[in-house]
Amino acid sequence: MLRFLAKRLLVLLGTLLVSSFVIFSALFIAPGNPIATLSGGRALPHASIVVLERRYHLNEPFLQRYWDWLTGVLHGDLGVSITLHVNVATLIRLRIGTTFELVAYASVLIVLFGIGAGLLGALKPGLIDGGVIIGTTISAALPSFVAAVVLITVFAVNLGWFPAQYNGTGGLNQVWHLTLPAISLAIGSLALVARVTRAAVREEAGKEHVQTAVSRGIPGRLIVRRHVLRNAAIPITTIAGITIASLIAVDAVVETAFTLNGLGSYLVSSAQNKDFAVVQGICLVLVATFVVINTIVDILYALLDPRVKLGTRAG
Amino acid sequence: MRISPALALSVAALALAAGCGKSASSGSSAAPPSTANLATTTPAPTNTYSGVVTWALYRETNSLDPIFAFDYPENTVIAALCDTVLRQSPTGVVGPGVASLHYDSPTKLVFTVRQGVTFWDGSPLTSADIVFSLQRQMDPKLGGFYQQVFNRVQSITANGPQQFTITLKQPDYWLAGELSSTPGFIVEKKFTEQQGKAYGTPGNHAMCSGPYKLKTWQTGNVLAVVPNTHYWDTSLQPKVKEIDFKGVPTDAAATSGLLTGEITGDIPLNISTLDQLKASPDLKVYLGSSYASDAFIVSNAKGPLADVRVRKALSLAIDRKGFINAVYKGAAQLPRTLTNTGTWGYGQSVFQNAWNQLPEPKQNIAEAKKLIQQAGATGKTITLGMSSQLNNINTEAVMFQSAGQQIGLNVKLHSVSAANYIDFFIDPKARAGIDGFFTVNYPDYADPAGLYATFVVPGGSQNYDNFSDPNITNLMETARTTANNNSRAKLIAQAQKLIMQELPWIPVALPDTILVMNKKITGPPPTFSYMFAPWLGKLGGTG
Repeated sequence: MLRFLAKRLLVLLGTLLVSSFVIFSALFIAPGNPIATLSGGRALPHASIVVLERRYHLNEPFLQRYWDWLTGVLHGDLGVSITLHVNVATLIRLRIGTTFELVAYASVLIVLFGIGAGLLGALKPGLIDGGVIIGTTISAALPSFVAAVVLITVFAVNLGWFPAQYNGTGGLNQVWHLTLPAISLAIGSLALVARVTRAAVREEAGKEHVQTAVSRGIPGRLIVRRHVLRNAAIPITTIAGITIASLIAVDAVVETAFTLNGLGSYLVSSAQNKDFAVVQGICLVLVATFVVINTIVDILYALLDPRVKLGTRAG
Repeated sequence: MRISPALALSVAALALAAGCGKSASSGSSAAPPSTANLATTTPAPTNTYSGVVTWALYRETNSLDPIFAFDYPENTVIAALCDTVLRQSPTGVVGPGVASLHYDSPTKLVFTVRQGVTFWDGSPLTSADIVFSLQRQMDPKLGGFYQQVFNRVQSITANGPQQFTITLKQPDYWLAGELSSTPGFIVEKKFTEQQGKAYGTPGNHAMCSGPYKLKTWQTGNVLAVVPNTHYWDTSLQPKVKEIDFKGVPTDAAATSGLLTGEITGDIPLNISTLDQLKASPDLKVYLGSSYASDAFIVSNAKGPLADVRVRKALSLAIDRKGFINAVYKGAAQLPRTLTNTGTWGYGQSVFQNAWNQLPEPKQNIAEAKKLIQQAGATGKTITLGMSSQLNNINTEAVMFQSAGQQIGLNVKLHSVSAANYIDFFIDPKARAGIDGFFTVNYPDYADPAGLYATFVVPGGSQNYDNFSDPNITNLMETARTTANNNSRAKLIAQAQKLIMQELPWIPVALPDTILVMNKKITGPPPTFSYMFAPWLGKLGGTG
């Protein structure tokens, strides 16, 4: 286990290094000007532009700038935002909580309702299964930003049950504020998890050993738990892991729609402003999270199925 | 021009919001363009508003340092927090602020500083603070955005705690206006020197003397201000407990926030859901005067648009009424001039007469076609810089394209991403091969000359095609050195007449200031002065 984790740590560092270089290059090549965001779309005096370009080293060659940034990071300095003149670590610290709470909330919804609906659909053919199929088809076709607009219109503007925007003040108030965002974030992935669960459970339920168990008169509940779910767990874990990891990328849309103070929406605006240090810093956090979630999924495989050796992919 | 962050998202969400809205009307059936009947006041508050006022900005504030304040979010907040040397009234009249001005001679401006003005920390505001603040604006090493404004200043010196003198190289009667605007914001010398580069950054790094003081600024979350109970101007004692300024990037979010009461006030530049807001029983929408102009900038000195007949033809061919209804939902005037009627901060009757004498622009395709033929420009190609991600710019560009094609021009659109649209303004390489692009622009104070000077005079910061007409230059220069307000206005009006014949920019619309407030609050004037003057100090609750 330790060796596995050490290996994963190395992979993480390698991934971070490569992705930071790729992101930095992409941002460098992309047209645009970080100074633009300071001027609000009117012409800035040339003298000011020259001073600002020097201050933020915007005219230095690419490798020099990347090297400066990298050595800074190795010394624990993520750099300074061009637009706000604030340390990137501080900017990330102020926003990371919202994003993680939102993603965690959405993940809970996906796991509970996704797997729940899938099980229901698989085990209760007929009307309920039909309902699950129709429901998941609709929700799978609903992009997060559409869901956000619909939810805001219905539950915030018309019914007034939930707030339309902003973070809460912590505790239950925060949960209340994040409910609509979490639903709009979860809704598409939820359908995917439900469909995969349904298919996996159906397949397992049709297998010989399950049929044998049924013919031996073992109670249905026990069969589902021991023989069906246990075997169906691998594909379900895979799809849940992937969708949850990808939520981190999708949440920018939801954060913007609900004016939440999170990393995703900040990443988008920073990338548009070419605020290099901020984009790099946030991407490092996201890439690290992605790798960590995948590691957790791998560990889960081994726990769920003793036949899977730690570090190898489940079949 | 406003470039909002996360635009791709906002455009998508916006289209949806319009679709889901109750009364989002289509362009053609909306109200006709507004006339000059614009509000200048809102009812005075009757009591203190007990909740927290949430004021929306189109994005988060980036800095509280006036030398880097160049856009709506920064200006709105700094104007509530800081005093200017002179002050603009809600209708743009420049008068005494923290100091009053006396011209000893055309090149010697003597300022007397008001007694009893203090910063939030209680220390008195003296001429040393003002001299420091102005010299900071001028300092080329700091890279502030307003250095050019001071290009006729020889020296600024304090003559004692309550007096200072500005000596000019040449007379400059535009400087007073600038001192009532962003370049004139005063920061505390001692505090600012201690802070160094940290001044104006998130946290608690600002020290001013305005009607509000900074409570906290947590980037990404909230910038909170509370009333400054020691403010020297007792007519500006806010009747609120706190204002939270928040960035709300999309029309959809601003609309739902206003409708649910989560946002209590907003001054959107234009908003696609204006009719929906007007229809809400909880909201009050005011249309007031503005300094802003929506126009097409001719940036190429060589192409077909170098011929004034082609510029005139294009101006005749565009459907301004349709555009005003589609983008501004009627909240804009048809432009008889390139500057807004709200910029008449002096010489009003002179400017009003000049306005009356100029024709209201009318679409006339036949006439335009004739001009194109006379110019021999039929079939020639012009390329317009635009961004299909920016809804308004996109609508505007398509309108110009269809107008151009109707009169025999070949119009190409060169689209860039929303974030890169700014490059047309600041990067000559981005302008290569482009004949012009679109802007919403405004002067820093209520004077048409403040905007004209940037694009009709050689060397102006927005004179991209090196436009030059000796008569116009001469009139502008004479105006700058003329002391009498009406005489100066007459010179600008004369220059304006020539500008409207030459069309270095093609006017499209003169947008109004849109002030949207929850009915629980009232007080501030619905005019462009919110960008530069402390009129948010009038905010309070209703009975």
